[in-house]
Amino acid sequence: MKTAVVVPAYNEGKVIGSVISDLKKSGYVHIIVVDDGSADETFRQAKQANVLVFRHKINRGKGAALKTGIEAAKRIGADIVVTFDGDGQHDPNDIDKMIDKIEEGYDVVLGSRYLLKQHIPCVRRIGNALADIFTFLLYGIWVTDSQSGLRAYTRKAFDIIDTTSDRYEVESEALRDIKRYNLSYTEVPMHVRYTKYSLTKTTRQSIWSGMLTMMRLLISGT
Amino acid sequence: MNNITIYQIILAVISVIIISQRTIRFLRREKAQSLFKYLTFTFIWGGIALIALFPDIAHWIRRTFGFGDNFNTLIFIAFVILFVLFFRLMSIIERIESQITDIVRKEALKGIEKKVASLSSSSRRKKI
Repeated sequence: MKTAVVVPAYNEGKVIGSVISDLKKSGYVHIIVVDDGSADETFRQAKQANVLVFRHKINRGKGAALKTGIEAAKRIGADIVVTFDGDGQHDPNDIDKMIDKIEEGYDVVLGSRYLLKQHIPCVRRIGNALADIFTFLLYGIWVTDSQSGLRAYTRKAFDIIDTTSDRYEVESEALRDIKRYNLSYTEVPMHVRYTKYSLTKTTRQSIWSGMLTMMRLLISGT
Repeated sequence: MNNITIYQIILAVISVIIISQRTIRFLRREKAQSLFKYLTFTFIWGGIALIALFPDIAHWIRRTFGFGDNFNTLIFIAFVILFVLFFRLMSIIERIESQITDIVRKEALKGIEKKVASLSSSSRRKKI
């Protein structure tokens, strides 16, 4: 089965090169990077890595970037799409377990930071727990890591799932569609690498950004 | 409730119809129907139905807050107009945002076939 790895990236110029080379080292050849209107070297760095790169002229958010990447994956005939954050916090070695689960027959496989004992900053834990509870109350689907960006979708799933949010609420919206269309899903443990770089980025999940995401979920239509 | 008029009944019926339509749309989780919009519509139309059926509520509010009849009506109308304008603006902004995203995404995906072809030819060259 043809697996495409979609990497949304916004101002990740410092790390995007190593993210792509790690993916390549792990054996993934169909890598699609979507530069979401970065003001830094992201686009140039990704281009140099010799992968498929698409550029949003202006920043539209993670949801929009993922949608562009998944559309590109469809057009190159991918059977499985793996979404993989561009900030270097995911470990490419976790993808194999996800593909195994897809081959077992699941439509969607969700990576979860909380199924492994590892260091996760307290603010992230609280922010994510609030988002998990909120996602459950709004959409009736309980998962241990509703905001995880590491996910694998079969063709059936990525053809059906239709998210409309441009920003971070896209992760919860995808869960809504999993529930709505009765897609089979499972969670697998995933490693997460919180580096100084990823922790200082302002757009990451914190309590405040979690609350903003919740507000947008409420207002932007369920 | 002793001297209920036809206008009161009509207003109450209209409010119930609107609230039930909104409830059905919300329960079906239609894309444009958010909880915020739903609660606001229910609040406005529920208030209209209540005041139509129990005008004493309006008198009680007037007595409690010390408004004159006309002033009270004016505030109510102003609120309704502001809410309608607010939702109109919200939906216009949402529509424009989504149109911008569509244009940006289409533009980004332009020439994808060319990109795929050039990428595969360059990897072939490297192998050689």
